[in-house]
Amino acid sequence: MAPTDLKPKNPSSPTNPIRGAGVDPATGEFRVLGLGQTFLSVTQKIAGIVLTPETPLGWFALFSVGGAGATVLLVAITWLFLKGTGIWAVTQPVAWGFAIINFVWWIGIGHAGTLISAILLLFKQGWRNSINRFAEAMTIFAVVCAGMFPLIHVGRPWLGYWLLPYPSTMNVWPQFRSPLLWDVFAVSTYATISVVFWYIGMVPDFGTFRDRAHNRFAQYFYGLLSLGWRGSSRHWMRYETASLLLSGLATPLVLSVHTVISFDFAVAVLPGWHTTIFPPYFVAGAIYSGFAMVLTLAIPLRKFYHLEGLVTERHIDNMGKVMLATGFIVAYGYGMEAFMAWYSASHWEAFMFWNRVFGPMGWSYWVLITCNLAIPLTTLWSRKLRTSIPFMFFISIVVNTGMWFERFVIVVTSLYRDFLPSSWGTYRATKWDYMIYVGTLGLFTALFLLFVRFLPMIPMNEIRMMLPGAKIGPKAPPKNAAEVVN
Amino acid sequence: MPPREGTYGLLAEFDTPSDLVRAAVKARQDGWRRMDCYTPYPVEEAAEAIGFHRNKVPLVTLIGGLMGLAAMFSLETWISVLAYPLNIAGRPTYSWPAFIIPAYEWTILWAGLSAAFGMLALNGLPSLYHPLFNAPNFRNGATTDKFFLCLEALDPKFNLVETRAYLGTLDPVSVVEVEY
Amino acid sequence: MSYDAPAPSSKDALEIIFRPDPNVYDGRWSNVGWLQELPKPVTNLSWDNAALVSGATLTKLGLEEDNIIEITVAGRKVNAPVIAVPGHPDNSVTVHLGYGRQAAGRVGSGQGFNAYLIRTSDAPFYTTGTLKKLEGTWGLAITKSHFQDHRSKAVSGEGTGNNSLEADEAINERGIIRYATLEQYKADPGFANEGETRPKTEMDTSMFPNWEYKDNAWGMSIDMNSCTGCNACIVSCYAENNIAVVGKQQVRIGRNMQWLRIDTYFEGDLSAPRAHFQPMACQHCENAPCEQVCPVGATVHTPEGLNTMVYNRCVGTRYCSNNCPYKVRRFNFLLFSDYETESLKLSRNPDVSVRTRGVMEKCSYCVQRITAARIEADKDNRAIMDGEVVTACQQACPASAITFGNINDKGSRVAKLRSDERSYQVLADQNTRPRTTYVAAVLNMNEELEQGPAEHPAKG
Repeated sequence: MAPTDLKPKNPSSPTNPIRGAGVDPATGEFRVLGLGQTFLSVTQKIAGIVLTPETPLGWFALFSVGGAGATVLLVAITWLFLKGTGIWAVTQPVAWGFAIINFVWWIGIGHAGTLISAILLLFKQGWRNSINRFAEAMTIFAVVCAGMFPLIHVGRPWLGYWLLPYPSTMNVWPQFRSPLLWDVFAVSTYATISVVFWYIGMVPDFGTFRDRAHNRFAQYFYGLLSLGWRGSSRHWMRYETASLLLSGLATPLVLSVHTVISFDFAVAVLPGWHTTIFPPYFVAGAIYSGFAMVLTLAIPLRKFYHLEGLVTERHIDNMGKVMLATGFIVAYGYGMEAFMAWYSASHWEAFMFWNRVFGPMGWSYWVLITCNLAIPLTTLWSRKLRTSIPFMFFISIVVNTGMWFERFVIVVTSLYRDFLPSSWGTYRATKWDYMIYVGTLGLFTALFLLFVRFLPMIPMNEIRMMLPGAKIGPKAPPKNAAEVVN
Repeated sequence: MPPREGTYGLLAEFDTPSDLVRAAVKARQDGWRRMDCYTPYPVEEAAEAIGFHRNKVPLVTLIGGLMGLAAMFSLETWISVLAYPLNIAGRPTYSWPAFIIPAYEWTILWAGLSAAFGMLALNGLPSLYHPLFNAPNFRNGATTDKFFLCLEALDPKFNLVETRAYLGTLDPVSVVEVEY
Repeated sequence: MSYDAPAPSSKDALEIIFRPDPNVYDGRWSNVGWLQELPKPVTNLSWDNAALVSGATLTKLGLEEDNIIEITVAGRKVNAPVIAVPGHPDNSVTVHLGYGRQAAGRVGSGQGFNAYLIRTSDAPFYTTGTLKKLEGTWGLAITKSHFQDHRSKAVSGEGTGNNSLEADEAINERGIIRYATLEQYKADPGFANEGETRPKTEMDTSMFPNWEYKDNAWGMSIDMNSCTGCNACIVSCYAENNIAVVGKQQVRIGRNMQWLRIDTYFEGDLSAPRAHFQPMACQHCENAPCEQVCPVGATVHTPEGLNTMVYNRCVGTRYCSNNCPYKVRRFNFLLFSDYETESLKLSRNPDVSVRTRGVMEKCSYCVQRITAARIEADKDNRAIMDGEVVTACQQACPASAITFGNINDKGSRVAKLRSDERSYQVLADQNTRPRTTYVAAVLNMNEELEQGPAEHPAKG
């Protein structure tokens, strides 16, 4: 197809979609970026979503849903603080419940954003450029949702600051052998580095917004945020170094954060918790669920904002492949638990596993296996399914459900029947448990929509690097009016 | 300090990165030193062309990381061994395997913050005002789709008329004078 | 007077037996919260009475536990919940008196059902009657789970299908309850610590040096031969330590606050089991799993070996409770302590804090009594003598099953009991190194009476 055929009528209009990227005849793969895009068209498309006084009605509708959820969260947390953790289902022996399950679930989701931003950058996977900004935003908001749980789930949340090592008048300090304290440092480091990495990544794009904004307030707002960025090559070089270093730091960080979260369980003595497979199993599971959530966000976003040229079937396909791989690591984890239940010749492990599968709460294990293994790991092999947008959206929901149940199985089924049969109990979630979970989903939605409306959701500067016009080559032909370079 | 007056430099605009790199290489060959390129995305060839090779961000990061490691590990050790030693589960007070983990996290935290804020500081950012923003075409292009080369007045070779002519030979879209 | 059993009036008629309630007797103590919350021996039922039947009778009548039934005796009726009790005779229903009062006071009113309604003066101890299933469930608060072991023989090694899962696990696999008959004991005196399922703590296999306890080292020994499961120790613990009464709904969820509990296991076929009672409180482990995981250091080990709970430091993460393998820690999920009632303020022990919401608590080896004894001993410039510190549970036990003292004092009773070859630690393979040891029971059965399950061979 000749280049001129692809020239869209008005490529920069937010309402004019670039219908997908199509398959590159040379490689047989879907293209990473749609054809016919220029530095200007990309800028106009993405800046056009933010720097406009008009907000789509759908945005308002979804934002009010998210806001309603956040209100429910506020009500539930207020009641929690007034009455105590007794309004939840936690009890003896299951002293941790939805709060910890949700905490691990949200943090796990966050890890995919960092993996996309950091690890895929280190591996020089250019396709990650389209999705890394909103994936990183997903991380930030997931960590916000996750981080509230350790604070609210304690019996006396107003004393939460005692987990910080500050010189107190009573001369007491935190106790550093506890995984919960390691969590404090891991999660706070993760939140800080994620925010910094995300913000630094947006500084050049804030420069773009500052320069293109017409509204005075927008000019000031983005002007401040851009820190006066002007695109100097010297600055860019240091910026690239800092980005690479932050990526190189974020990689061991993301591995360590979920490892530390897994230590919450692995360091305990409970059968079903006390196992060395947890660090890699948790990290793989986190990436599995995180990529699923990126898909859940990317698919509606690209449809609604007509970004099919920037987030293409190639991205969906690649994310499906990552999910397949991490899903198999998770399957290995499950398989090892089963194998070790027999091979260890430890009665504790054997009973724990039998109980997990066949006990009164065994239904949760079977939901887990269906959602995490049976459905995704048989279907994600097919490229046709991996590039089918509706199917991938369905899979993303299924995997996230499965990963929630994985944490449920780990937390609840190991606790409710442990060492002494006299203390065996059960766990039945209350409405407050559900309200807080649904509330965090609402809060996440609301925050994410604010991000989409006011911040650059796709990194324009990184996309520019991938366009054909960015290639340094021999002297161009004499200037003409056409901006399309092929 | 009284505001500076006069010319900051001359700004040449290009449509493609290749043009900019060619121009920058030639300018450096011709002896120009006080100059900079402005691009909407990082163009390594342009930075090399103006003679920018190494930066100090990695060193700042390393120092930050080591400081974080030392700070946390020594804090944990001091707390657990000296400040208020307690018998916790019969474990030794110097429980270094446990102490490694927060120390590892703070290594990354301080290294990351040093990288980010060190980079900003070395870049001189935030710098909300810069003379270049006075140039009318700079704002419209530098962060979108245009490439600029600025030869600064502080360079000994700078002369308003001659330098403008010289820039003209590099085939730019436009040449603009930038005032303070 | 004839003591013949009355002839059943119809083929569906069951024997109804009236018994005074083990907690509130004939009802005179209904308004005592401690007694209402106390789980009854054998049934572990609290805040209610129930119609007790055997498992076979329950099945025969087509009932499930917690169903509501109507008991009819000579035209008089009362509604009651029904539960199955191991070892109960078939075709027989036991009802406890003293419940169902409507004007018993704030605590006692409205609990359970009134068995007096079907009890007449011409049949005050036993009679016949019929049961009829009604709609609905009562909502009983039973503090122990009780499941049947439906695993195949290959998995559990036992299982007629009518064994208790909890007992099969506790006795056959986990070494929680260890006992022997007299013959087995004579053949193998060290039975309590031998074999894979009866591990012993290995003091020298740690990755780090053992902590030294040079002065007083408090320990407890509980004699499984003597314990009858009477619950007196639990009530004394309530009295001594200002433990809160949480109410029926909270007990149903599993939140009762008893620092000490009597674990009951029914071994063998549930129609005629052998019952084992084990008092379980904080073991004060030297390698306490709970201490390691508290992020704020609210639970630490004293130089004398007590695992202390520092109430005012606790922020309530509950990791310690999760990590306690004995599950002896109790959390104040809500404000369980009654701060309002004036009369309760007089009843509390001033030496013990009253815990607020969000704080973990557990048995402290009556640290206030240890401190009181230490003060007296310091005044006289001497060491604390054996027998000077008596914990509340030890004081209340009618069978002297609990012994407490300084295990570093070789002459103390507790040290001697600890060194007895029948003494064992529960969950010793977890290397928690508990300070509480149990003296394994040796049963000297009368052959003519012993018609129960086959002798349980000591596993080796």
